[in-house]
Amino acid sequence: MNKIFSRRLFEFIRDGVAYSFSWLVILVLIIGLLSGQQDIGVDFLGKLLGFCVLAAIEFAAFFSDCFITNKGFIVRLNGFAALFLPTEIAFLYISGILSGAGTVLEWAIFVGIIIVLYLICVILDKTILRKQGQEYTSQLDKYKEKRRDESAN
Amino acid sequence: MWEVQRDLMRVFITEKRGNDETLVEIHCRECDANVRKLQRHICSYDERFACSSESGTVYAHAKDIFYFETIDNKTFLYTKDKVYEIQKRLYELESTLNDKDFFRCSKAIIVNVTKIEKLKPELTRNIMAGLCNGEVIVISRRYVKAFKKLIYLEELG
Repeated sequence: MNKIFSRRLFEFIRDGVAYSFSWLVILVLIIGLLSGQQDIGVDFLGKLLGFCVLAAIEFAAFFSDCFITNKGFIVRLNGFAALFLPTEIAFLYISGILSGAGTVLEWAIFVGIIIVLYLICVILDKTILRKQGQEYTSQLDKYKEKRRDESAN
Repeated sequence: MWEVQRDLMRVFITEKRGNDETLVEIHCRECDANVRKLQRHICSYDERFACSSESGTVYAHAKDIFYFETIDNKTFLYTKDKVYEIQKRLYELESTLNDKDFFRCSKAIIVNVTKIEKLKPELTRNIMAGLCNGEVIVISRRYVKAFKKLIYLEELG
């Protein structure tokens, strides 16, 4: 593993941990305020940080371009989801949010959230980004035509 | 400044029956950036790259090159359906290639923009570039802004 590669990977994981940990702590604070819980345990924060580090490593593995280069977004998303979901379930049990086998409703909510988030990503990729891609391609064609004219002259 | 120099630039063509090749010689007071630009422009007119192949050295014309890629400190040149190894490093190529046609799209790749057929941005802020031969390369998010500037996409907003 060369120096530049290690540095890029480190930066990606560092940024991922900082971003996800900050937002999750804010989310926990909001939920705590709404549910009347006044404090957060250091133990819980430690587990949350561990979860963010693992998630950031998994995210970097698929999205940093350090390991996978020529694959599209959906392939990366599927790979990440396959690795991240067991990590997430493990965190929910370790942190005590889930215990035992859980109820059907709890699992339905969990699976529902995953499906909705996945669909949002896929829809964004297939609609807005596809349209943007058409605009980019059209502009590229104009540029190529201009270059052809310049070369001809 | 360049405009003035260009106005003062004189061009001579000398025909000699015995010449085997066309020779262009630049005479200048100082070899500054503009002169080097002129040199690159002349070189790019018939730019060919010496490549190693099993059958010996072959020459690939710039217009036939799809992209250059560095893998394990070796540089490879890709045409429509062939791959050759060349001795130059990417940064050397970057300084000699025509920057209107060739674009450094990631740490390891310089792509011929005229060979890109389709562009698709990703949520990761990379752009997937489909080439005429069906291959797909990535324009890394770090180079996306420069690429948009090159093809005047930034002007569209």
